[in-house]
Amino acid sequence: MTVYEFINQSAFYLATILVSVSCLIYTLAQRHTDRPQNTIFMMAGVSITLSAIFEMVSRYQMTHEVSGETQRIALQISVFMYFLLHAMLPMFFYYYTLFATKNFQRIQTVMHTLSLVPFIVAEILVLINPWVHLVWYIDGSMGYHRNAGIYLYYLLNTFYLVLGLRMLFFEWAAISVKKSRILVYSVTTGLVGILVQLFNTYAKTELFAEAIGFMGLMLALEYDEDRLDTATGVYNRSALLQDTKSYFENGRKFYAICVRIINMELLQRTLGASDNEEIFRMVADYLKSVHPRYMIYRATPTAFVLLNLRGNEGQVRFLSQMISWKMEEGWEFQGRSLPLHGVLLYAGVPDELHSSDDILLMCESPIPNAENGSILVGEDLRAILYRANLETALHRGLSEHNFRVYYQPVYTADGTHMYSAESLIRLNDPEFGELFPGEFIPAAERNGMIEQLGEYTLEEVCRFLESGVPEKLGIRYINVNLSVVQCMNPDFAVRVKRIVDRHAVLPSWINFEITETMAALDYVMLDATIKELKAEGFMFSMEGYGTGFSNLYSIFSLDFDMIKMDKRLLWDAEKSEDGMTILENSVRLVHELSHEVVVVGVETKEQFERARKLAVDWYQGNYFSRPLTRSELEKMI
Amino acid sequence: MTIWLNSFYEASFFIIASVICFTALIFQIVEGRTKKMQNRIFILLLVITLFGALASGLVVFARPYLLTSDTARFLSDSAQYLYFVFHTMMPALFYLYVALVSGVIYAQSKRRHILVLLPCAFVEALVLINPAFHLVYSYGPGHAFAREWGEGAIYLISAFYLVIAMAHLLRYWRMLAFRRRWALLYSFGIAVLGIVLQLISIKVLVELLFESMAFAGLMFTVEKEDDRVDESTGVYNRSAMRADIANYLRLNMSFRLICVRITNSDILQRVTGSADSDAMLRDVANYLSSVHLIHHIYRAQSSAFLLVCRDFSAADQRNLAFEITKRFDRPWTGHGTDLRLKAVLLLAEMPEEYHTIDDLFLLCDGDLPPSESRRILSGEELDFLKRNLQVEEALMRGFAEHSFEIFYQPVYHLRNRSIHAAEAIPLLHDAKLGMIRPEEFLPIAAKNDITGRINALLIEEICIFLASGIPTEMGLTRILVVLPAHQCLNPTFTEDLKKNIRKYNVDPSLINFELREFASAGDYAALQQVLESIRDAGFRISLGRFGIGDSNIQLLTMLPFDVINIDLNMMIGKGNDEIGYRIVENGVRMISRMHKQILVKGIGDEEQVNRLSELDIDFLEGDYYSKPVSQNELISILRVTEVARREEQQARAQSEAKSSFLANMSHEIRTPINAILGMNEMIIRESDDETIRGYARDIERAGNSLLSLINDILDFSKIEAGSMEIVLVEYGLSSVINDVTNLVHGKMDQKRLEFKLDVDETLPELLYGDEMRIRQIMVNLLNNAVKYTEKGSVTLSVHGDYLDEDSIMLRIDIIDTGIGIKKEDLGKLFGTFQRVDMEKNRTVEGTGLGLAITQNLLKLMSGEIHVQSRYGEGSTFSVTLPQTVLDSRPIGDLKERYRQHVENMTEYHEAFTAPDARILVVDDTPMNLTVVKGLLKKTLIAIDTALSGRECLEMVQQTPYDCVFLDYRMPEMDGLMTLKAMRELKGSPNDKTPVIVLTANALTGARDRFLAEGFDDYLTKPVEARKLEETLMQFLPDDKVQVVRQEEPEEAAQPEAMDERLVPLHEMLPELDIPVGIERCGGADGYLDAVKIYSDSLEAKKEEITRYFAGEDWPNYTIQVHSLKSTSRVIGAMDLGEAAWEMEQAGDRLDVALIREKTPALLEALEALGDKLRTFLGGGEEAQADADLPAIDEVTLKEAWQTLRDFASQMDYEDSVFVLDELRGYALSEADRTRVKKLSDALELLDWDAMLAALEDTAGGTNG
Repeated sequence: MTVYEFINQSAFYLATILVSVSCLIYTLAQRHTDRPQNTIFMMAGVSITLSAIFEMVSRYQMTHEVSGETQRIALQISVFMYFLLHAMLPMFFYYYTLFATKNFQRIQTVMHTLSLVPFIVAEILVLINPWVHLVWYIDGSMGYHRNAGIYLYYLLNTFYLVLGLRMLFFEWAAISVKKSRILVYSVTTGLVGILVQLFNTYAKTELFAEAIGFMGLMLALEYDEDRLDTATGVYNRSALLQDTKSYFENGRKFYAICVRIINMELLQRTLGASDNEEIFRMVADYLKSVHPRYMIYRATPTAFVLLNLRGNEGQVRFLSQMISWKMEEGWEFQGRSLPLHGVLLYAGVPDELHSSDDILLMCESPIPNAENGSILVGEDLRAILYRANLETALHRGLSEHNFRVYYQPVYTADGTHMYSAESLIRLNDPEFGELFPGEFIPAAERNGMIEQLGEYTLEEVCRFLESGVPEKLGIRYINVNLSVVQCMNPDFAVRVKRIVDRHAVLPSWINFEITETMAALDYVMLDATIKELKAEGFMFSMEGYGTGFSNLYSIFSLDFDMIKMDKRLLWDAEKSEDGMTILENSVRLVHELSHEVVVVGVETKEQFERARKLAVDWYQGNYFSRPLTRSELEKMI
Repeated sequence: MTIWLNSFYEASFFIIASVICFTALIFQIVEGRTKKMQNRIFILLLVITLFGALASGLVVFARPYLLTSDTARFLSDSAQYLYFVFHTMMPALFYLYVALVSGVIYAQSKRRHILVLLPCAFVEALVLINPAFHLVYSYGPGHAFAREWGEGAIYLISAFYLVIAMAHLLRYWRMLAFRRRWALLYSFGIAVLGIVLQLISIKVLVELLFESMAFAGLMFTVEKEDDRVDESTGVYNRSAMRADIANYLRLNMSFRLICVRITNSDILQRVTGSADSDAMLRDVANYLSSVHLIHHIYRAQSSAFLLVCRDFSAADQRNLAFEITKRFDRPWTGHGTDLRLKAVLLLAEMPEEYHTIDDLFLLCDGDLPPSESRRILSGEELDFLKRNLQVEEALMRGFAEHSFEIFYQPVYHLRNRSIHAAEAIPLLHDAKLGMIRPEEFLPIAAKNDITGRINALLIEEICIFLASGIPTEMGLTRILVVLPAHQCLNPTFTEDLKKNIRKYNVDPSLINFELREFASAGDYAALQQVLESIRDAGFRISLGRFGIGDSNIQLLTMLPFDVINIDLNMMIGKGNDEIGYRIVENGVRMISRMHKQILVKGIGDEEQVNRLSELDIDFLEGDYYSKPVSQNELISILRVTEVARREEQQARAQSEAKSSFLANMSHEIRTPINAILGMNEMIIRESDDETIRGYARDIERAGNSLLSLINDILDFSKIEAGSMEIVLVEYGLSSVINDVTNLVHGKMDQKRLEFKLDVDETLPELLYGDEMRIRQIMVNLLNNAVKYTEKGSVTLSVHGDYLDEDSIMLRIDIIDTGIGIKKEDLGKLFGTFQRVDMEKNRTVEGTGLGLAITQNLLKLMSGEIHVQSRYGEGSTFSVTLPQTVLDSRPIGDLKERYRQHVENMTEYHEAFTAPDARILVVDDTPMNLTVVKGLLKKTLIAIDTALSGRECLEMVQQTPYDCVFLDYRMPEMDGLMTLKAMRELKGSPNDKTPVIVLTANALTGARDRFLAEGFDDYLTKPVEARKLEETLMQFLPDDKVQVVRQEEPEEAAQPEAMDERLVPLHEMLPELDIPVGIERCGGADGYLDAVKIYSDSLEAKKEEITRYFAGEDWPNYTIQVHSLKSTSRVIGAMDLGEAAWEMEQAGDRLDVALIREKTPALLEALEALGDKLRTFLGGGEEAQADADLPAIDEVTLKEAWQTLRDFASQMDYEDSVFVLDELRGYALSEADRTRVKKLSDALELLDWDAMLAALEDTAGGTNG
């Protein structure tokens, strides 16, 4: 046999070596070597390469013309080594999947031991083969022959393959469609190669097919850049979602530690945009030094999540404490100290946090008045996550009709009769009891339900107006609160008109209210919305005057019909002379600029008298009437 | 072994290669990397390799059948041929791929591309024509494959492509991530190894395998770009952008950029949360990716995308930008709802406009101007970005090069426009950029976190400046420092502050921090604490930029501010100034009510000043007054204002001197008027001559109006001096109305006007307010009404509306049927010294100050006055005036009381006698005593007089009086002292006698004061007969008073006699027509004066006539004789007048001969008259008096001069007057008398400098 023939005959082995060595080189070049799964992956690569080398040696011995004892022994050894090494491969695959899917710790030691049994059996089969020849034997003419044991050997290997595949495809939600496709292809290629060789011993495709599968594994599982946050090198938000989702599905218990930087806005002002990422890289690097990289996620631009899959609460507490100390100690950044303020939150999952969304909430919900380095757990955390439950309550509210619209009448200047009313929405939740708008509107704004809520309220108000009850009570129009999200929707005006048109309601019966804080967000946008709707005949008023950081000029440039003083203005007027001066002048200014003034929060006679002296146009408050339901109002006729 | 197995072995490399290629292809497609040109070429390469491998395999499998089967041979040959056709393309394609990846392709011209592809075309042609010419390969015997020279060419050209590809890669090298470099090198090595192996031995068919391996490697490393992709939006990330652009720049590529900056993403995030805003940005990214496939899109920043367009013209770029902006008109999805995003597109060209990566980041990260409304910015419109960068560099340089300079903008007091403070403004004097204003560099400094450093610098500079003592010396009381509130929270700030204060030993109260931007400060509790500690340390704190969103209203009360600042720039000039002004006005009102001071900044023009002038603002600042100036300029401004301040002080002193002068005049003028009117009254009473009484009545009328004029002037000077005080007292409304009606009733009677009184009966009786002023206002207005009304009526109507239980708004209307006021004159009505409709009202007397005084008085009492008028029909003056109600008992029917009063008035005229009564009148002016005696002559009261307090005391001890009239202002013992001494006298018969004070002081509150001092009543001088009698009626015991019917005085004519003073003159100059002269001069006194003046001027006249006559200056000669004619006729020198008239005629005719003839005679006559007149006047009092005066010794004189100098420099008017008066009492030398005259003249004008000048040469004498 010529050398060329030999090369041709060993082509698959050569290719196997080429592919697996390439994969090893790429993996090393990628420096993905810190996770346990990386080690297993490389071990598998090495074992494939070695297997291919031993196979080539066997092949050479078998096809070589000259034969002797040495040659025979060499053949024996190389075949033996091949089987010995090759039996490891499926086991590696199985363990690789265990680590990659982060299921390793979940499985108890007993199970681990048990799952090693097939491997041990296979290896024993190989080890005792020189004596019992259960799997293979070499005949006198250096011919290689299989024995029945080979099928057991394959079966045992298949066992791991099946377990591993099951793990990848059926127990791991973190895998993306793209990746599962690559894996399916790789596995199929591998199986085809194995089957080809199983049925035709001359076609030495098995190892090569395995190398291709190995390559697929590398591409699908080892290359996880799409799961990485480029700037910091830790995993990104979608990785967090994928992973935690998977854990939840598997009922895994773990701890989530959230590290949040809370003064980023301030830092941004002082440092500029380009440095931000550097800061987070610094934080991430620190976190990597105390926790494995692959268990750190950057959940939001300013929040990291550290997952701890095996630790107990004590360890988690210790870890948090350590990070907290670091926070308090401060950071050195580009040669100067950086006043980075961080807060830590941690919780057991799924006991305290019930979904991936909860984990994100932990990273996103506003934390009021937290000091640098404080650790929020237990009750504190629950309070922060309250909003999470609010969202479910909101959903429940819409589907179960738990929302109620109340109407608080607005009284005329002499305080004798109703002139209009403000619609107020409340949520009567079976779990939380009565919730006020201040409690659930921010949540609704965040999850987009505000639009539905807004339309629900408007619809209710229209229905009420249509009934004629308000007219009989002397109510000329009803105030409906608007959210900034509603105004930012370009369809808003159209939708409003659609609703009003559906009912026999005139636009002038509806007065939209916008809060001062909201007005300060975007005067231009608001101006357009107001103009559009006012052209239709709707009225507009601004509420909460005097509390926000708004530009008075811009506020008064907007075409409001009336301005509602924030109730604090009235209440402060009682407390101090300055408060009174503020109220008095606010009313005066609004009047001077030809808007009407509504004083809100009138709760006592004294307050009414006080406001009355200022010649306020309208009053609203519990002194006149608390918010009433529609039926209560109907009874008043 | 079967043939198949053999073939299988032989083809195994091809099988393997195709499997690898196929796998790579599958992976590539599964990963979705198929869109970009680079991806497509890569796929093509894979497909060609796959095809090559399959074709080669087919050739191998067909080989055993070549000779037996035509089909096999055909298939094999075709496969071989196609293999060559496609495979030959590979090196060129590979080169293209590398060029694309490295971006080199965009750097090269099309021509070069074609050139580069020529070799490939050449070998391709060789291959294509191979079936005919067999230049590449051929089939030998047995259809054996044989290489020809063309194959060598293919390898050569492949090598060529590989080499240039390699070269590109090397250029690209630095841009590659570490792992890419090695993976690439490895792949490349493998491919080359395969090619070389196969080249060496055609039997080792590893080329395709190695090539496929190399491609697989490329796939892992180059094609897979996860680290370059922004995970949330799917476009390239910032680090990819940095790498790519850097590469392009290195390759000198030119390209255009569109940076899409989303400006409202913060709002978005605030309302939706980061996940949803990411979703929305993904929507944007998808859209941008769809606009044009060839563009590379990067997410340059969390809310900015960058499009890199190559081979794009400026017009293309603009069109694309326009298209994108149109898309932004429509909503984006992501949040479950559709929201509108706002975007600004920045268009740029690299490297023409932007040269470096940093420039690029500037484009993506640089701050946009907040007020930008344009949606596409390009070219020069983007200069602000570069400018920002330059400013940033300048800032950094600034610290090293000490190029910060503090400028100061003066802050003025509104009231007197003096400098109160100065705002410290840091400026940056950059060597390159010139002057940079803080508005520009402070935001940039904030971004770079060096605001603190700048502030530290600012504070230190200010401390140094303050430590110099100059600011305080020049009257600067504060230096203002603007500070963002969050800066205070920085602990180094307070430390630095304290350190500087200690170091330079500066009074902290001179530093005033103006705090801004509270919205971003966040923690108010902490801020409050810090601010309070700063304030406790002595610094002052003000709230900056009220009302623009920097702060909210609650902060006004929450934090300890002394001053609130309003920046006009933020309110005015933004479109609707009215809104701005209203906000400012309201703010000012509110803040001043809260007892905080107000500084209005940013005053730019006069209109704003006018608009603000009515407001209660304390301090002003703005370019209108002074721009920010350097420290030295500030010092010189301060110096100037300091001088001005001194001058103003002087002016104030002068005006005070004037006031006191006027006040003195009140006494001085009133005393003689008192005498005149008193005497006059006597004439009226005693004279039987109706003509004389007529004259006397005229004197009375004129005297009274003179008196009221003086009163007006006094009031006005007080208002002007700001010394008018409102004295609040308890008073009865009805008595005020009564008094007023009584006062004006007489006048109306005289003019036969009907007086109507309309007073609401329910008005409260007892009020609290300035009774005197209210009286004055009503009298003023009524007098005014009477003055301008010829017939008809004048109505006084008083009504009121309760404001609350304790206060009432009085409404006083004075309605007349007079001449009315023209519409155009209504505005001028309340102006000072203005009289409307002069034409018609020439005859009406008055200062024109009445209404101005009224208005000012009302203003002082928070009242208002309005006027309505129809010209020719009448006017209504309406006064509204808030008053405190003490007792709301109604005043009842005043009309009825008035009617009764009028009856009493007529009764009064019956007068009274009291022959048994005895009174004492004390006054240091004998004339006044005579007046009182005269006035009371008919009452038959016994009147004793005393000339001093002392004399009075003697007399009261001896004689019991029924009443004592006591002058208030007397030398030695004044009225009050006398009264006290009198009351203290033991056993005096007059310890209970009512004492009535006589005073010229008719000022406000006088009555109360006198009553408080113990007088029983007071009478103002000049004493009015009626008032005097009224007072006596009140205080004399009833049993001594007998009311009698007044008798009509008899009138008798009295012959006219020549004034005895003129008799000598008549005797001396009988030709003089004295009666005519007296007539012309309005009386003997006037005539005497005129004669004196005439005489004094005669000598000069003579000289001038002589001079013009000699010089033959006939026109001037004529003027002179003309004036001689006139004056001569005035004094009755008719002959001389006649002669002068003749000469005037001659002069007019230029009859020189006549002039020459008669002038000497004229001059003679003139001289003769002069001599006689001088003789008559000669023995004049002056010389006589002078001679009688005592001589003054030199020491006394020198002392006098010295004293005068002192008084003059202290601007002491009264004492100067005193000294000069003293001096006049001595006989002085001619020079000294002239000096005294000069001094008196100067003093009259309050010209202190002139006085000092006149005294100049006296100083030497004193010293020497």
